[in-house]
Amino acid sequence: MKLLFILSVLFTATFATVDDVAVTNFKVGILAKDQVPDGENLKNVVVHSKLPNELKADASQRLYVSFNLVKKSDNAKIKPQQVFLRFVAQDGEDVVLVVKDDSNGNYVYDTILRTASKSFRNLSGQFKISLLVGDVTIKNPINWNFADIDASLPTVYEPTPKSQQVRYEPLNEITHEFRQPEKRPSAVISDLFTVICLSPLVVLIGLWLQIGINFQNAPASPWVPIFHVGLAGIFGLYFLFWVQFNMFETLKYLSVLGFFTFVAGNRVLRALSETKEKSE
Amino acid sequence: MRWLPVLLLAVSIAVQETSADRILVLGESVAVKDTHSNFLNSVKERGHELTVRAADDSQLALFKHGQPIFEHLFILAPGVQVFGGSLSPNEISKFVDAGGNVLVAAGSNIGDALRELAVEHGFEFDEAGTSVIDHHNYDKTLDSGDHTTIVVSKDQLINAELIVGNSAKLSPVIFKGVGLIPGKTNNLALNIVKASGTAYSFDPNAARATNPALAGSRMLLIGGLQSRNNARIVLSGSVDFFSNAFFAAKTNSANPSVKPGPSGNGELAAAIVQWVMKESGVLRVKSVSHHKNGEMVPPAEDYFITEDVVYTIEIEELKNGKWVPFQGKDVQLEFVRIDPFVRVTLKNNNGKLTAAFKLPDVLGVFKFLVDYRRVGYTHLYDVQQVSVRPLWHTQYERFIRSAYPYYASSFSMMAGLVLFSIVYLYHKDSPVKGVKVLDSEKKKN
Repeated sequence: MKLLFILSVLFTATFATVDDVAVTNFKVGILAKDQVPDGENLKNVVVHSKLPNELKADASQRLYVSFNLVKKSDNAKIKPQQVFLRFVAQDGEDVVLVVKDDSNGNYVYDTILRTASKSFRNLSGQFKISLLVGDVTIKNPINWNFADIDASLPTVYEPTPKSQQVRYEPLNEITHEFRQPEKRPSAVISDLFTVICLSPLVVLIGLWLQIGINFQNAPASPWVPIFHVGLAGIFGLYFLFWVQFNMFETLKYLSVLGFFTFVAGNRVLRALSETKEKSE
Repeated sequence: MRWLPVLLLAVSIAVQETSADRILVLGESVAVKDTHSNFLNSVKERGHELTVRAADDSQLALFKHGQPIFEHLFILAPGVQVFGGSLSPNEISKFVDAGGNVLVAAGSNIGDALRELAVEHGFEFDEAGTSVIDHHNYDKTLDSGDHTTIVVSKDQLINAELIVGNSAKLSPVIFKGVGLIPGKTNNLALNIVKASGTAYSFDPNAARATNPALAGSRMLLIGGLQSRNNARIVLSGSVDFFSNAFFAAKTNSANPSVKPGPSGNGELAAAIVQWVMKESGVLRVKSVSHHKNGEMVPPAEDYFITEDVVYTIEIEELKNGKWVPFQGKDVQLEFVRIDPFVRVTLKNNNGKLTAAFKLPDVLGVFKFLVDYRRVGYTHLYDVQQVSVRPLWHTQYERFIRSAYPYYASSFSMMAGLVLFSIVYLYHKDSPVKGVKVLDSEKKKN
């Protein structure tokens, strides 16, 4: 047996050097799990042409490729060193599978795609399939894209942890989404409500004038204007606090203003009660 | 004799200023000096200091007193089984950790030492005795009959001018040696030269390639790596790739689409060795500044949210031994608080890269982060930390139109109080005639 092997090596090494290789009986097809390959489910492809339709397969189906490799001169079957199927994915990644010959010297690739997908390194989708044939004894090595296949193969999602990711390309730009300010009512509505809010004061003054206000109780005391100017001043200070002063400035002024207003108020009340006592 | 120390100091400074790197070259024997003289001389001509030794020389050492005594290590000895002296794959890893750069050239007679070294750095050479075989692209003149001397076309090179030079002008190169593959978890691997799709790695004397470990363009002929400390490693499957014979050879590919001509090995080897020795593709940060738009200096304390800021970074690139302004246009700035809130591309104005943007309306401790990683360049990483604080209560918008009803009601109430106090204190009811005064009122009065 060993002798036979060595002889065959010697045979190919010595006699095939001058010859070209030819692919004959090339058939390709997608078969179900238990389907027997026959003339109906396989398609013949003429050498160096391409299967017109794309093959479609899922992981449970078999890819079946069979062909013979013969010398052009005498049609003798040969067994070159390199008989591969090469699948090229769309991103250029490729997978190479070895085609083995059977006992009759015919080359047959017949594997369930789920089994074959182990060497596909998570590739799936559309592939171009090429037949590669080469040997030191072959003058015309073959690299023939004979069909396209759309194979949905099982893939495992294996994410790289963020700390191990190495990204060489520029990333997408990020613009910060600023919080949108709340929608505000129109100027007409705010002005209308400003007027409505001011109206009670106007109504108050109007009603007072209607019932007829007088100041006959006012005592003739210098504290009276001081008190009211002081009170108005406190509110004026409050307005300034809103517009420009800080808390400490406001308290400083308030301590002076408040003191005088307090004393003046006290005097006004005293004057009022004295007038009342006198009138009784 | 007083000036002697000064003179010595001046000499030592002068020695340091010339960028003479010390390189340890290991060959299978010292004869590598002759077989690879063109390659080694091209390195020497750039002013570097070469020490050529046999890989099993018992005096070999990379460190002296814990300090590396070489900047670079070239191993052109594929067959070495065990390194001599204190050298070992482990020691070479330490050398890389210390910033040393390593060039390894293997061959089909690859020994355990190099295979182990490759595994240490995330690559795997195929086994000894195997060769890269390509029946479609072998060299008809140089090949000895087993189709292992292969012609590599420029589309198999990595798309990075810094590593492989101007590949568009490069002539096909010749390769003869062992295949290489990056480890599955090696995310830093660079496929400097891929094998062609028709190539595979197997024993060239076997009758049938039944189960090649490596096949197709997944296999590498030359692989590279820039480690996280920016040390560079290149692993070539072929020591002949660097040899005088291949430098001078003319290619004659079996593939009719590749025209015959002088080989590009010399140019490609020169580009790769310049990259591995960090003579090309080295970046550094010269200065970084950031400030509010319209100002010149960063704020004394913190930035406030939604302020407009300007960030400027000056980057320099090492070109022909000189630091020149970096011209890259794809450097990005991130403003990061755990995750990036803003990412903008910096505008390059002769090495001065600027970005202006509005700070996000989120408070916290942020970083101005430039993380520039491109194939062939050293990894540029710069972080500037700043705090972004919320507005003072006085910094918000005042006198909002839609708040006028609130202002009006407060002030009308105050005015009302002033008026009411006057009316309440001084108003005197005039008794209305005909109105019966209540008993209770009478008693009160």
